[in-house]
Amino acid sequence: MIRTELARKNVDNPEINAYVAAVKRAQKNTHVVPTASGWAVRQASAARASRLFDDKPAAISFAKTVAKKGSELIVHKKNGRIQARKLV
Amino acid sequence: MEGKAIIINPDDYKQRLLGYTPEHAEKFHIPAAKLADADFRKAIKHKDIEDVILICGGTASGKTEYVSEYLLDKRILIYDGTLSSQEGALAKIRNIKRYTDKMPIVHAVFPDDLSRAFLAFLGRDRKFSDDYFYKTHSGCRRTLLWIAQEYPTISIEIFESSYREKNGQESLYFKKISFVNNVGLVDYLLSIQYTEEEIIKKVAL
Repeated sequence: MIRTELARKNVDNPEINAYVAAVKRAQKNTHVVPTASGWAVRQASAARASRLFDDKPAAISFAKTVAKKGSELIVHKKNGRIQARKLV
Repeated sequence: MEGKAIIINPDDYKQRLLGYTPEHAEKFHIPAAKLADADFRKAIKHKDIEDVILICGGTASGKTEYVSEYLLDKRILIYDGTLSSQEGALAKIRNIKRYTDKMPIVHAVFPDDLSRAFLAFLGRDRKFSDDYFYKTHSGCRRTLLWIAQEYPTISIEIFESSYREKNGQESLYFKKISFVNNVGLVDYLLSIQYTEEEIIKKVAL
């Protein structure tokens, strides 16, 4: 198996620029995610959880206070799937 | 997107449907795909098309970005979908063989990092439930393996998208993954098969 890098043809490709913008937009989102011992509030771009909680309502309440305006608050289910998304 | 290529992308058809808004894109997916399939059947019959390419890959893996960067200047017909169901793939393969003397070519785009593809999925204007992400990323891999095993004469080209910083700017780049023979391709496809639950674990924060 050989991987060969393809040279970019159009450095200002609008489709690729839109993709980059979507990634950057989503990096600002705040997630409430399940952990082994409870729930965590995490910024999508952060390497670690900003805070851990025993119960989900407390995690959601805290997430609402730290979510950035114009971003999304995304609450997950215990199985990892998304339960709800809300524009902040 | 402009160029010589004819591109059929179900997402483009959603905007033609009455009542469409990006926030409710998922509701419009099936009717848009039906319109796209009908136009694809018509476009196959164009005499001046050199090749028919079926794009394969989960949502937000970089397929449309790959098409716009590398395929627009060719006189080809491209179906820019996910190819996440065997039924859909089979219908397209049968139509191509029925109406042309060409064998379809499959170009598959897989992200090197599913978490990044999930971010792009969550951040774009067109909104779908997250189930659509898991289903298409799992289904497209299953379909491609099936094509490689059932149709060894269909050419399959694999591309890997990666998101990284270069010269101070983040962007999307592509690598072509080549194999010595079909056995190598099938082995690779077997190694990237994931269930929906495995996809969820891979994108979990």
